[in-house]
Amino acid sequence: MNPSLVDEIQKEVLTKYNGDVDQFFNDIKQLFLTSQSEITQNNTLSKTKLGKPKDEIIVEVKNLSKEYKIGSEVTNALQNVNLSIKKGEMVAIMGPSGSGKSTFLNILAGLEKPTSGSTNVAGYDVARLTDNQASQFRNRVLGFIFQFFYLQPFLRIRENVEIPLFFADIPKSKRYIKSRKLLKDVGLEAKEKHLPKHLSGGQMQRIAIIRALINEPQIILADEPTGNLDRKTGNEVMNLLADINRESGTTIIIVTHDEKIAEQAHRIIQFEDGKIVTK
Amino acid sequence: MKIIDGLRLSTTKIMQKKGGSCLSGCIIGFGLITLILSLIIGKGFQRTFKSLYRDSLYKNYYAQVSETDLELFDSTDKYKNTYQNYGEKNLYSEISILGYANENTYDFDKDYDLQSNSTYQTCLDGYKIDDAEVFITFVDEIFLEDYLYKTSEFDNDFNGKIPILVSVNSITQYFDDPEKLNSSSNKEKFEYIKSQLDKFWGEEYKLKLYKFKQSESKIPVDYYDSYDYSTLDKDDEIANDIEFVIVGFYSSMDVGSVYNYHGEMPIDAYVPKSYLYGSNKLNNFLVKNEDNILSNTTLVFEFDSKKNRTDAINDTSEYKISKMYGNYLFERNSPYQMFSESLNILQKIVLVIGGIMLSVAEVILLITVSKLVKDSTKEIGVFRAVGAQQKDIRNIFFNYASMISLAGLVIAVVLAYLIAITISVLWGENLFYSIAIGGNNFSPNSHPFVLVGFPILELMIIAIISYTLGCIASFFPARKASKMDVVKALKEE
Repeated sequence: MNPSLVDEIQKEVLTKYNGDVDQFFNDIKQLFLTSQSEITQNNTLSKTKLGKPKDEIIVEVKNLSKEYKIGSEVTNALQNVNLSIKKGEMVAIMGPSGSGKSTFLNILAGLEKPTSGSTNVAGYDVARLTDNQASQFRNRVLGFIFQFFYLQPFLRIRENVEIPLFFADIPKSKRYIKSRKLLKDVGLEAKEKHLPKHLSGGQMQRIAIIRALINEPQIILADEPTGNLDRKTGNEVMNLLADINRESGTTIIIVTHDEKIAEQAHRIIQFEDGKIVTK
Repeated sequence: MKIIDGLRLSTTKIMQKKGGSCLSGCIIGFGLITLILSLIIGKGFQRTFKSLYRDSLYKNYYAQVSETDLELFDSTDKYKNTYQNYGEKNLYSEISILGYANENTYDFDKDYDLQSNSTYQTCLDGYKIDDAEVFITFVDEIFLEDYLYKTSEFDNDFNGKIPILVSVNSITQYFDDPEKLNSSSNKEKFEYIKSQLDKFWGEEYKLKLYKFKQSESKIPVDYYDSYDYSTLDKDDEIANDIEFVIVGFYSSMDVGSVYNYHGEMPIDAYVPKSYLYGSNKLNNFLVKNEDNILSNTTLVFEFDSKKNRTDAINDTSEYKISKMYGNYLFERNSPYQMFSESLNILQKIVLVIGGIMLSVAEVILLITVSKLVKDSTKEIGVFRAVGAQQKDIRNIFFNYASMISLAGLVIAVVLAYLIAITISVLWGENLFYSIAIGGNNFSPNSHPFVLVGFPILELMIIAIISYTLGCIASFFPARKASKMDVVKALKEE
């Protein structure tokens, strides 16, 4: 133990507790238990808050493989992945770095083309979409949430929320109505004219979430949405996602390293070496 | 993506790269300033020139001059090169015949100081147009022109009429022995010229003073033949009928010509258009009597640089009266044209300098946009992930470059006008006379020298060029941005 810390404790016991060491330890124990209780409470996210998945399949992946060639070396990022996700389901994708989970997410979003296999997302054969079609697909079907929020620093909060609608040619008046409602839902309507730098991390992620929601997507792809937040704020974000899942029936696919976050989902899918090892 | 939304996103790029954006905009502005300044001042010059010319016409020719007339000054380029055909010696110092001098009052051997107004007065004293058909003078026509235009004695000297001025060079080619013109004595020269004129023209020579009665519907050709001009004076009954005198005034600045080949030998009398504009009555008369003129006289207004004069004269088909403007005038190198040429040269130089500066500016813009694209990699990835198409990304950077270019244009226009106004106020007059060669032949200017014009069309063209260059400069970076691998862009740190 650090000698200076010992000196400090001794001094504390002598001055505040008048030499009553037992009392001192009791208080310390109480304080510790209280903190633990709060932490546990903050970490707890009841599964009952999620919506009930429907029988309809919204994501269906069959024999999906993805190879990367670097020179003569071939890396199998995904190998014969088969997966179905139901509408309204919240799925957590876990796995170590390089296990293929991000590649999987990118292929679902039409950002990458698979080497083989089929990917059907909300009725779209994503692998066959052209670049422009894939853009429109992402704009209309998907919502993206990133670990680092990626809010535009020179756009005001409301404009940040409206970005996907910019690319969907939605008139300003309609955009305004939608963004105002969502900002109100997350309690940030007062910040609509602020710049992102004036928000906390949790607030920024909430803005990023409603940005993903503004085009009313069928599926939300969240890449480490709580990875850049403290536990408490992370839980708030997860609660928000759970609310969205429950209230709008939106399918949510979360990539995360955090088991506690993953446990909140209906299902955890474990990737390892480009394969699904646990469903 | 709607244009307005694209512009909004592009403005964030300006905020993101404030320094680079400002630098690019300012350098584009400076590149454009030289171009715009030259256009503004050039336009101002042209306007001032016209205004001076018009003033000059109003003051000296006692007639209304319409805008249509003035348009003629700059309307025809086809005679542009004619001037050169007459050789350099015609420029300033050609000896001209202004009329027969009265030997009793004119000392031909006297060395007159031709640059002094008092000398002009002396030179011309006694040579009333009523007393002589043609004046012969050795006065440099430029100075004479100056004198005639500006002197208040104009009316007195010429009885309100306009003198004939015939170029010696135009007729000496027909003389028996042109070498005699090299005689050192002015008197001998004069006598020789007179004798040649008498010999060739004989009685026809009298036709050099054209006289018309406006009341006559037909030009009385025999009127000339029967009249002895030597007795003509202003009290003469016939003299009172004279309504017009067709004038020739030859100088480097004149703009038209008149041929009369009534006799064996053509007489060239160079007629500045301005005179004829001034003589609206004459013009009207000529127009009304067009047929008579053509059939009964040999009065032709024509100028054709492609033919030599003898050929032109023999080819009657070339001699026709132009109806284009309702008068009989043809353009030669007018002061306005000469001035425009000077101005064009200056503007070309400025164009090259401005073009170089603009090119440098566009390179800087290219570098700025490239850097901006690189710095926006992550953002491009996010935009693509949330649904931006390639064209949306391209437009963001196109718009950015266009906005910078147009901002540069606005800066340039504002500064160019400020500079032009300053130059105009401080050095307008000096600058004008140093560039507008011949401008000082006009009457003193009563207007301030506001050398500031509004070249709307040219500015629009520059705006389009600036925009296009901005698009070109941003083309490759914008294309690169739009083709960016979204996954790599999202992974970019």
